[in-house]
Amino acid sequence: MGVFVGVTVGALPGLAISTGMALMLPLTYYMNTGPALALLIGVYKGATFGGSISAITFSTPGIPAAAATVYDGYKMMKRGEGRKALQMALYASVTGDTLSDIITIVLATTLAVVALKFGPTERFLVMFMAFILIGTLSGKNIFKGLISGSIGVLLALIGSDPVSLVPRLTFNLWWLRDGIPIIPMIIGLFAVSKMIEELFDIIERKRKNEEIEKQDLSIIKSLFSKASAKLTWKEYIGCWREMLIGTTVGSIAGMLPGVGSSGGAFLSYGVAKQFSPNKENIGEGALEGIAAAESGNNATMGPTLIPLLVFGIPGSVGAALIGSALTFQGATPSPRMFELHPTIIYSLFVLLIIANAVNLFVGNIMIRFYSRLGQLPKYILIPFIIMLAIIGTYVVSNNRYDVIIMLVIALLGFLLNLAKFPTAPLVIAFILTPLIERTFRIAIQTSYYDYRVMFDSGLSKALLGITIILVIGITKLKDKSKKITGDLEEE
Amino acid sequence: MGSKIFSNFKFTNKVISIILLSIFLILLIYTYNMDWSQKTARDGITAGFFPKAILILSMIFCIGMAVNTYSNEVPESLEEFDFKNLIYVVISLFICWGYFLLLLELGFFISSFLFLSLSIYFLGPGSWKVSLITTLIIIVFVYTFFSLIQVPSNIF
Repeated sequence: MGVFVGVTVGALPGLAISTGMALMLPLTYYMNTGPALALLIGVYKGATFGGSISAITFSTPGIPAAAATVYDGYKMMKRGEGRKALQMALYASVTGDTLSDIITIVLATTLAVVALKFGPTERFLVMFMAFILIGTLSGKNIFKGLISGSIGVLLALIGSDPVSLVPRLTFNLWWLRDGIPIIPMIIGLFAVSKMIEELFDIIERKRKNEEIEKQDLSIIKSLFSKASAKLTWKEYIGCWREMLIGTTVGSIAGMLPGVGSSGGAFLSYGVAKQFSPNKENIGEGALEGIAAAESGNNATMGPTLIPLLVFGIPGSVGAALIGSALTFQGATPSPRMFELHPTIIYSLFVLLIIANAVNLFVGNIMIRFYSRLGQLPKYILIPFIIMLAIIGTYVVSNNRYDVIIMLVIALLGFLLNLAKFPTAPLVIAFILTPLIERTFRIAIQTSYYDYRVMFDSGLSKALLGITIILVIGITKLKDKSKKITGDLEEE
Repeated sequence: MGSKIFSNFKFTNKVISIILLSIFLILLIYTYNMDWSQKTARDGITAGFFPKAILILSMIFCIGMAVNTYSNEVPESLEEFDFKNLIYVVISLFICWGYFLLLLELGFFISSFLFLSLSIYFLGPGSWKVSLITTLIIIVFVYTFFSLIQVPSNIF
């Protein structure tokens, strides 16, 4: 069901992966661990592939991570090779995803042993560096990312102080004493604020009496006719280099907090455009371009869970939501996760692999249906999503104040999106803050209130150095990929 | 003259950062003046320590945003944005709240029927037939979905 919902969410332009996962999160509250994780992982993986469907058929990426697929996918569609392009997107997604899941399983188990040797000071530093990375690597403007992260920290600090139990930043509102719950926060930020944006678009069009552009359906009808060519095994294997580039670059991007699946896709596309033997044709409607972008964005899925499972740091919004679901199940992600909840960890690993097989199966069977889904009118989608969001927020704790919080956060999300602030750092910082605060308090006590210990050790200097290198390196690589894709857009 | 200044006014990143800086400053002053921020926990850290630290950090980031290379850029989405339209955003949030209150009073079926059919009618092409059929399909789908998961709530 997760994969089905996920591909549907991905195939519908205007709905992000986070929207689908946010709407499913309240439901996991009433499920056992296995089905809850299966649902979220299914949505996560399904939506990433689903985004490529409308990118190829309508030149409208269903999710931002599928934007790089448009350059080659839509050109192939116009040449009458849409079926081939869609199949390449599916197979490259599943290939990149499966290989990166194997990397995740191997690396997470290895790094978990190392993470156990970290004391509270080192753990605090790792989290602090992750906060800086998330802020600086999300979005175009470094400071916007950092401010967004800071707002997330501020929102997380609302409520009672964990040690003295004194209410902080509650503005004398008693219902804020327990803090801001995660579900209204996630639903407000990713589902309702997004729907308000779409609503705004409809209202604007209505005011200007603009007709909503109708898509040419004849091209989709011919997509699955007998005459349309299928992807051959030779063509699939012929793109092995690009899929390998996508898997490698995507996996590395996934492991780094803040880069995300869009970053993974564009970086992979940029690298493939420079190193592929068929680089001249990438951007002109080549299978290699689709292979690189799609394996690149799906390859971030598994590795984004590595920092979550090893250090308790969610590297992306998807990982943050999976982390929240784990917390609902009583297994809060932390460095001791492998020791305390081995069954959950290994179920998660198995589910990652199974979800790929389901993604392949559902994608193959339903691709005909999904390619028409981009036609679903927004005037149906918006009230439907808002209804699900309100019910989903309320049913978790049957608390009407949660709905108020959700609507206020939706307004905040709308304003942040309007001013082009990335919202991923906000939610990741929101989830990370209690952990940062706790480790900071322990670290300070164990160092006998000597703050210098935090920044004097060799490890802290090494971490700082690594963060600076990563920020500079990835920003440069991103700029290079943007230049390549920018040139393609101009063309 | 005043209207000329106003018509030339642009929401550049610098302006946004100054607005945010002011909000963070007000919050910092509020935090400093509150009794709770001085109360010390048994680990020696005051309740106001973390809020103050992050507010100061946020203000530094705002200054960074005001002076960096993108400071005079207007975010793409704000270029043609008419701020009078913000009223629609607030109205739509109040409609959502209204739907929620109806949900508590009238239950899932009646309130959702009203909310969906009216929203689809006014946002869509204005056909009652489309709006009613779609509403019924959605209501049956959502009810079945939540029933399958056995969500315990007083609204169903």
